[in-house]
Amino acid sequence: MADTTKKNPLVRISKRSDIKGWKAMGIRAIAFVIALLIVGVVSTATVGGDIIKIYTTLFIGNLMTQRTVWALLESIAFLLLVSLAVTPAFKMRFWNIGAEGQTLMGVLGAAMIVNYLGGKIPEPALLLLMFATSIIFAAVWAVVPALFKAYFNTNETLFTLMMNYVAIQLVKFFIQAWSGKGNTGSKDFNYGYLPKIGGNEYLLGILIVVVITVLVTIYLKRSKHGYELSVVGESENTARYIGINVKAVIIRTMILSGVLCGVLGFILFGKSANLYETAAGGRGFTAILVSWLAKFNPIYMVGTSSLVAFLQSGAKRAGDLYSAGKFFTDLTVGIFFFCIIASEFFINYTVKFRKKTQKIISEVAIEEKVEEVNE
Amino acid sequence: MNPIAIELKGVSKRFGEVVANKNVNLTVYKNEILSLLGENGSGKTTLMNMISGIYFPDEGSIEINGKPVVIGSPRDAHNYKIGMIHQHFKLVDVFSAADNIILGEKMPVYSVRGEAKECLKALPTDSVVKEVEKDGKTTKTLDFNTLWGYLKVYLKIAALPFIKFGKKVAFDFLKKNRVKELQAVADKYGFEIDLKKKIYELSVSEKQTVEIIKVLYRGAEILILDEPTAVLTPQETLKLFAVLRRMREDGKAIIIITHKLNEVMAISDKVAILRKGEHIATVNTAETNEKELTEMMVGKKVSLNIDRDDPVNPVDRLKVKGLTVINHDKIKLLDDVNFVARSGEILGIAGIAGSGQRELLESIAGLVKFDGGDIVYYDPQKNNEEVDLKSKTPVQIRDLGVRLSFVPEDRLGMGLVGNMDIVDNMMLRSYKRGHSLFVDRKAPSKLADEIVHDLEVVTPNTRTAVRKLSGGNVQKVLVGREIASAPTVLMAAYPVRGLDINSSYTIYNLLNEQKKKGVAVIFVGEDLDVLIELCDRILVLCAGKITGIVDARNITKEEVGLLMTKTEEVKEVE
Repeated sequence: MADTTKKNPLVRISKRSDIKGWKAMGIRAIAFVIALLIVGVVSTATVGGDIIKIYTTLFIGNLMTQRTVWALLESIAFLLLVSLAVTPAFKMRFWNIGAEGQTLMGVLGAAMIVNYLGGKIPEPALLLLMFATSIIFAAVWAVVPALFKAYFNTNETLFTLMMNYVAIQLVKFFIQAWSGKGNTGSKDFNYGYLPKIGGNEYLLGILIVVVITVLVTIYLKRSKHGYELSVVGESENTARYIGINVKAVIIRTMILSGVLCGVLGFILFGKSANLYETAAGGRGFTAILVSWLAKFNPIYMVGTSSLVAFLQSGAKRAGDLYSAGKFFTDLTVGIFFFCIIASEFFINYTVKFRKKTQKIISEVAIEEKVEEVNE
Repeated sequence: MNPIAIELKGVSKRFGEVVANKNVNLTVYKNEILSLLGENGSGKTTLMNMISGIYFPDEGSIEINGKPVVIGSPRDAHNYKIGMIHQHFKLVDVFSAADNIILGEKMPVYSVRGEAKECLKALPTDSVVKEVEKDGKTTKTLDFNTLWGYLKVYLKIAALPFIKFGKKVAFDFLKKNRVKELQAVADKYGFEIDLKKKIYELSVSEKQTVEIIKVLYRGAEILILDEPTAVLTPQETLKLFAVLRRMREDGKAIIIITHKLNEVMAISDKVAILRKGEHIATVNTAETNEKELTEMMVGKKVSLNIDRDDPVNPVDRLKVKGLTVINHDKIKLLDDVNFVARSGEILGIAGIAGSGQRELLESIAGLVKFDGGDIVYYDPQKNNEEVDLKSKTPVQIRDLGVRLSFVPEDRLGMGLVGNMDIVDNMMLRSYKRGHSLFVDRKAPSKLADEIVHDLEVVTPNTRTAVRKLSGGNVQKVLVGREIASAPTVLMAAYPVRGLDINSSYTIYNLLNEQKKKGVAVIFVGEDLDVLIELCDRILVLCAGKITGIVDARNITKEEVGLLMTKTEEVKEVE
């Protein structure tokens, strides 16, 4: 006979069926506060320094001057654009983690036009050509894994990831080829700057992203294409059943992903007319998180990308404060992501602890009491 | 009175808002077969999962042989001699039946560290150096006895790993030669099976037998079978029942989950009825009847008759000629299938699960490319002109004006999208209409309202994700959508699988309505009683071949059952 004194399990995890909106937000808020506390502890332990100062830099540092506010808005916009680019693919359950490389190819496309045609044709024509080439380069980079997925059912995650490294090496190659011996870091150009609106270097990029956000929202929610790709994502069998051409949808959607990355590549190049291998700045990877946290909803994505970009830039400033470097930024942002993602577990599941008085035991106890009294 | 095997006291289980079981009291006796009867979602499986350690009850207690126990894991359940045979078999295909049965069997725990500790207790307490008094002087000498005592202990400890290894070799050797022992268990209860065969060579009923032997071999005294007859032919069911009775005589307590009333009456001694998670009653089978049980199960009176009118001028609507489908492994899933579906008639398709039913319907719907044969549709709007459906995609078929509706077997995986709401699911069929780039949700929304109203779909609103609806309501949404396009051919694969009695009859009535409208209905079913009652003709498939097309009005269940198992071998193509 097995051990009968075995106790009920100490902790049990069960799925929540529904959680009220305010409760979910509350859990997220708690996670945020916990993250803040951990960041406080970690920063005192690593860089020393005044916690209050770190907190204020983290939050207010971004908002000190007009320029920093614009820079923040711009980084939000760029992150949002890549997130919008990966979202249609994600909704289709095509895990495109190659937005980094696709964006970089966009940058390279623009650089290529400037390198060969810069100064030889009028500026508007140059910009137009840059834009077209960026889009084509990025779209090609995106469509290759899509073709392989559609026709040979290769794993898109690995494929898109590997394409990133190919893109980086290509950029390195061209930098070297164009700038001659010795220089491998970056290549500056004199042409291909984006026009400034009213003297503001940030505004054009932000406006483009606003327009694209609206368009992508409509595309996903209202268009037939958007409907088809969500059917394909939810169930390929259903898509087959109603006669959706699954291959075509995969390829089409990845082209869209690539085009959006290409737009960002074009803007990124147009800001500095500079080609370097980290031009995409890791946004292609951060975007995965932004898109997931927003549950693939472009409107929520405005919020999540704001949060992420805000934290990143705040943490960078806090790091600079103590000249702690990039590691501090990554650490801080990592702690926040960790806590926020962990909070999703508590939103979906509830954890119950063993009750101290078990029914069985209390019944036995009562019986014993009764016997005592009888005696 | 038989002794009590297991007793549940006030057991409750909730999943979020859903109450799966509420204060259930259930007693199972030895030497007894108890049927657990209830509609889908009434909490039968949840209750059994709590006994077999998959779920843990929120409230209440479980007693085995009169002692309260805590079953926290399947391993605990195993220790308490509880065995469950699941609906979906958990077997390794490329292993032999015997290997599957002994799979995961562990040799008794033999811990070298623990044994060593035991050995150390035997260490001599005396010192090795003995002081001997001799001539008034104390001289120190080695005491060889004590030394030997020490050595013995250390030698033994050193040998422990080898002993463990030896035991393991012996255990593995014996394990591989268990077949005889297992065959004895099989023969004892009258199972007809060769345990040396690989699982992939076995039929569904043989696989089930393997599962049962596995549970018996592990010493289960309380057996739980989750819908065991769902995959069996009538003949196989009878055999299973004979085995169950033999196990009952052997002192086992058997719980069988089912919702087929005739089987409940045939096999069980007692019936426990669950409704909406609550235990309604436990009655002696001998003192009740099917009608009474149904009423307890549903909670109200229901009529259990299916209407069947004679077909009104049937004409050929769909002709399948020599249809052959070969899969990647070059096995013929469909082999030279010929039949005609007529308007105003329900054509039933019977067969053991996986006999080619799915391929047949999917070939007609344009989802599967077939390797031979023709499918011809006679268009009633063009004076029954022939339309060739060979190698057409679903879209092409629709564009040809063929009004073909298909209710697939996998409702949420194929017919509908679980995460989408009812309106978006309505759109699946119609979203492509028009040249606009954008989808129109007005018409689908109206259709969704109509279906919810007409078919009494229980849902908070039409914006609810389909996956949140119960099985019956999901099926109403799917069938409703397929019927809404005014089909001339309606194919339905297992449309009542998993549905409760009321929903099932709603579906039968819908099929009958379509038949009256002159639709050619093709109905793939698993319950032979229903097929015989509902259909006009029954086509029997066996391993991809038609073994008979019979008149449903003049045939018995047993005759259909025989046709279902007419040929067993799988043919390979070069």
